[in-house]
Amino acid sequence: MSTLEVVDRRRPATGSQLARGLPGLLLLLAVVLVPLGRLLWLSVTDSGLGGSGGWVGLDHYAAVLGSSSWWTTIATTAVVTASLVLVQLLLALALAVALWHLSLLWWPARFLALVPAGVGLVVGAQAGRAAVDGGFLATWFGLGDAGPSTVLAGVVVGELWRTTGLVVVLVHVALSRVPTPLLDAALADGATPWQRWWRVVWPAVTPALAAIVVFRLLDSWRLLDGPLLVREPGSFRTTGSALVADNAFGAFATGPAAAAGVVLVLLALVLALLTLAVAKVVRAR
Amino acid sequence: MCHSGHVTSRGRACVVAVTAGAIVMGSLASCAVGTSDADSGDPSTLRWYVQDAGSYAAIARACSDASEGAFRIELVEAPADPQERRTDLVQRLRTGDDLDLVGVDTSAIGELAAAELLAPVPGDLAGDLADGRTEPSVAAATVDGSLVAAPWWYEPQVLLHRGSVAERAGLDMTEAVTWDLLSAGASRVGGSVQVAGSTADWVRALVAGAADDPDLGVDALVSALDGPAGTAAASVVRTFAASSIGPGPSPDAAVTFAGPGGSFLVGPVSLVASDALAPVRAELRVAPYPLTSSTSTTSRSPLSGTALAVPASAADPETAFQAVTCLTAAPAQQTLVAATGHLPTLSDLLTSTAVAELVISPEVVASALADGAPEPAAPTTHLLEQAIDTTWAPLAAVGPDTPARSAAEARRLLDGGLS
Repeated sequence: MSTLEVVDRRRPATGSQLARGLPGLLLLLAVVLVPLGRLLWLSVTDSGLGGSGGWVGLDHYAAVLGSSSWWTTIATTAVVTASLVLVQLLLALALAVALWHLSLLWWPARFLALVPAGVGLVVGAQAGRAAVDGGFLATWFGLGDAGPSTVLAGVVVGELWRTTGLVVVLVHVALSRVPTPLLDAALADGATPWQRWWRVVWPAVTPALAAIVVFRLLDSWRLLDGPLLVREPGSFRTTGSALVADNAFGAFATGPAAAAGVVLVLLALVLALLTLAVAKVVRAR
Repeated sequence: MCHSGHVTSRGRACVVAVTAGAIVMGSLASCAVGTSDADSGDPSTLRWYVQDAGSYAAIARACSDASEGAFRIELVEAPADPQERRTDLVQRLRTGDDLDLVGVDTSAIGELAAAELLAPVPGDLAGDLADGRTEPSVAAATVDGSLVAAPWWYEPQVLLHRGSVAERAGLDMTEAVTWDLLSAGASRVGGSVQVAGSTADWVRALVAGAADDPDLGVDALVSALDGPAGTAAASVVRTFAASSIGPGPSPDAAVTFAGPGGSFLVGPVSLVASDALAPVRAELRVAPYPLTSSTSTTSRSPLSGTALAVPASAADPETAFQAVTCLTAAPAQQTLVAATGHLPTLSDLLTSTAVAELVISPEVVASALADGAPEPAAPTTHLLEQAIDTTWAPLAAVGPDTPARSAAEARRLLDGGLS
């Protein structure tokens, strides 16, 4: 029988703690590094259909970065990601704040908010597409024949519908962690609702919001199912992930696809770091 | 079980028969047909990957029986969509999936051969497999001068029309009409022109028609797209789109044609035997593939088909080639026509009464085979097709600059650009 011990993170780990942590650490490294290493290896070798498997250096990267279709796709992905995350964050904030004030409704609301998240990506994308392509949204807003951008908007709508509920729940959790004494004190000091929001609530929830935004950014950045499903010949490609999938599993150009995948991962890292930096600035203000 | 996108009435009977047999044998996992394994030892099982597998159950069974216990053919259904089929097959062949025989679309032969995914045809067999076959079907299975697959079925596209609609539209169908006349005629009588087959097939045939050269390679097709032939092809497509006579290339073309208001259908000749057209079969007429423009003299129909190959990863290529020989021999070719309506590659059978009855107009088919535009048997054919499929759709967006754009896109892909 072992006794529970409190691990003090400020003190260096003891030998026995390391020994117990090591298998988990190794497993984690293997799970993350092996696929990543393989991706890197594929991106610098001639690994495609009929390829020799030999070393090609950075040729694939040059081909990817020098391709106009790559940059159009990245631009589209950026627009999709930005609009998705921004609209979603605003919607979720508004809904979560409303529900925060109506605490009685929270239980049924939480359940309802999470229902779409339980629906498959495929269903979300198809439903969104159906809504803009001759469906209820097309009727409401008088959309004509669905062009590629309308279909793309449909994918965004479907994804919004599917995941906003989850974000509402997360934002609500962040809001409910705002210390009540602080709010009470602000109230006692005669702060207006506006002041209470910006001076008390906002600083308390920014770290959580930053984490939520990073999570949603990365999730939208790798959006694949919807764009692949609703695509029709002639419509422009929608996301970087779809481009990787097309090249890897349609053209069997594994090398360029792997290089594109590596660049996508790097861009995702940059996005995440940028978001965290912005969050830091916002918090410091 | 055996599913198929394009099952013919006779093919469906086969599916039912095989299903019943499979239930009796208690083997529901796949369509297994063949001799009972009580014969001399265990026959080796050959897995045959082919689209519309249900229709070929009878052929597979006959060849299994004829092998006297050497092999037993088991059918594996391939996806109905050509693009899906190509990627699925490449994945299976690359990962060494347990396949012994594969039906390969003629458009994919060059690519698979270049990637060394197909077992080389034994030298002494190559002559036999090509002997007595129609010339374009052999050319489609020949890469760099050597046969890489056995020609199995190969057919042109034709213009089908119903009843007296052509007369009402003022079209003389005894000779090939131009696409523009067809569009105008159909539009005048409020009819439709349905297009079966891919956009790439259509555009390739239009370009070959305008260039009046059926046998263009990939590079020649790209150059032709960039010139007057491409302009002529775009003009046909724009007139078609402006006439509001149909959606253009569509997998639903045959069903729509057989429905109310259907009048013209451009598609593979085997469609006449399809289930989709069964309700209107009595009033079907066959005419040559339309001409690109009034200056074209010869109808250039898109030709395509399927050849049988043995994967490089096959466990026992010798037995597999034995099966290929049987599956492409005259008796199996006769069953093929009866079961699916696909045109056999044996020239002698093309003039047989069975084929003549089926295709309605053997002369049209014969000249289409002679003058038609085949898919280039090159490793890069699919890149050209991809470039055309993405740039010539949607039809309403096709403009004067579309041919140049598609040529540029094809060149980009051929240079190894990202797809």
